[in-house]
Amino acid sequence: MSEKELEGSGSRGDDPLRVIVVDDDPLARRMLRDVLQDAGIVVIAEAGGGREAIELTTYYKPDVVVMDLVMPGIDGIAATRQIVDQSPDVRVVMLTSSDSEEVGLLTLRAGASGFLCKSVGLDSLPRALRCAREGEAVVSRQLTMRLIEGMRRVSEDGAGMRPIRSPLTPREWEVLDLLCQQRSTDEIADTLVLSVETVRSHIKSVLRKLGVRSRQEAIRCAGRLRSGLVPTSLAEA
Amino acid sequence: MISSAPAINGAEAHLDAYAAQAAHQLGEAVALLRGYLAMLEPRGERDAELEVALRGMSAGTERAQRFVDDLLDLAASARADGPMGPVSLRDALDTACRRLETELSEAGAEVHAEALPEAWADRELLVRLLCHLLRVALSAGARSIGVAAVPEDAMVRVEVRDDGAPASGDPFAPFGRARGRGPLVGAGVGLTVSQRIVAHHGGTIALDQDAEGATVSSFTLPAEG
Repeated sequence: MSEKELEGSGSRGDDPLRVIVVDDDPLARRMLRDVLQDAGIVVIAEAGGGREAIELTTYYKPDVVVMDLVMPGIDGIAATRQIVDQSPDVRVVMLTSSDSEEVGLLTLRAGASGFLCKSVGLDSLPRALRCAREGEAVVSRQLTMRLIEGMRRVSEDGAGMRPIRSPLTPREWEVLDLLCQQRSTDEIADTLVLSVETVRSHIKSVLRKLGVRSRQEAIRCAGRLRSGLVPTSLAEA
Repeated sequence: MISSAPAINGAEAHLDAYAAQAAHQLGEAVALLRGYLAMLEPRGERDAELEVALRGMSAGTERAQRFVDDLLDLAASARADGPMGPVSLRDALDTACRRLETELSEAGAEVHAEALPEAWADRELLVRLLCHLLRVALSAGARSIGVAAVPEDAMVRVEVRDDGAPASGDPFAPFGRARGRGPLVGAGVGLTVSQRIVAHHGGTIALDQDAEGATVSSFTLPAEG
């Protein structure tokens, strides 16, 4: 979505964007604040570390958090995970000097909406943050390609795909993946090197957490969760 | 008494630049490791060996993060420009103790303080200064750390007294590790950063032994602006 489209959309694009800037370097924070304020964005708070960022985000509920990666105490990835967990409506965009795709992918897995390298230039940052607020991903073309390659490796039944937030543990997802492949309890136990009793316990937990009564219902629910059709909060209820 | 008058010369400026670069390279690696460890943590049952391995990796990354924190602090101490104002030393000490809650608890150490006055300082820098001095004491094996302050002309003299191992060599030299070598030590820049923070406030810092053999880190800060 372009900036003009955002401005004319009549949605949240009309409201000033409220941002928290997180960077341990005060000079970097000041530079970011100046760039964003010049673009009409309201910098409601600044944080010098991950812990402070989590606290300020919980308090202010900004639209977007601009997050540094390397900081004292809690790093940007760990802070992102906690922020997204506690405040799912807040978008986090990582802005870092790292151009590592590995870091980028992990950042997105932690729940960030974007991963930008500082070398791309700060002029494009205001637009990127507005796009993030509107629910768009803010990632480089190279990183997008890595994501596409990852998607192509996923099997057709979606096994291995997980929503970012889910009531199920990773082990329960593994069990659910195998249920989706129509594996029996014994086969799941063999595959995951678990006892049959443990697998039964996992399946029971999966059914309870998904609010379903049968394995077939769980399989259908898994498909909806993977495609984002079911808010995870519903499944948690 | 070992006192110190700091001056950031060309060599130190290069060192700071290197510290910043190293902190970001190492910090990125630590963030990656922590990120992947966090992905493994919610898993249900794990075999005992994996459990031990994950605990070891977690301890290792936390130790590496401490090193990163120190390097970031060393680099930042050369360009401090926060707001100065009246700061309660008691409040700053309480904040420092909260930040070091885990370390103090694991070491079984106690911090006790008499009534502490206000000083004219950058609050965040003062908290970091106290954190560094407490951690230096902990890394020297201290179990009891006392903090006291007395007025001295227009300054406040703060003394941090501990029962840990004494210093050797030049304690204010970066990476000197003058008072300990355990897992709490970090990059060994605690006293270097402390010295810079105190100098930023126009004060002095010194390290001494008292008659009872306790190690005393004492520093001065302006009492008023």
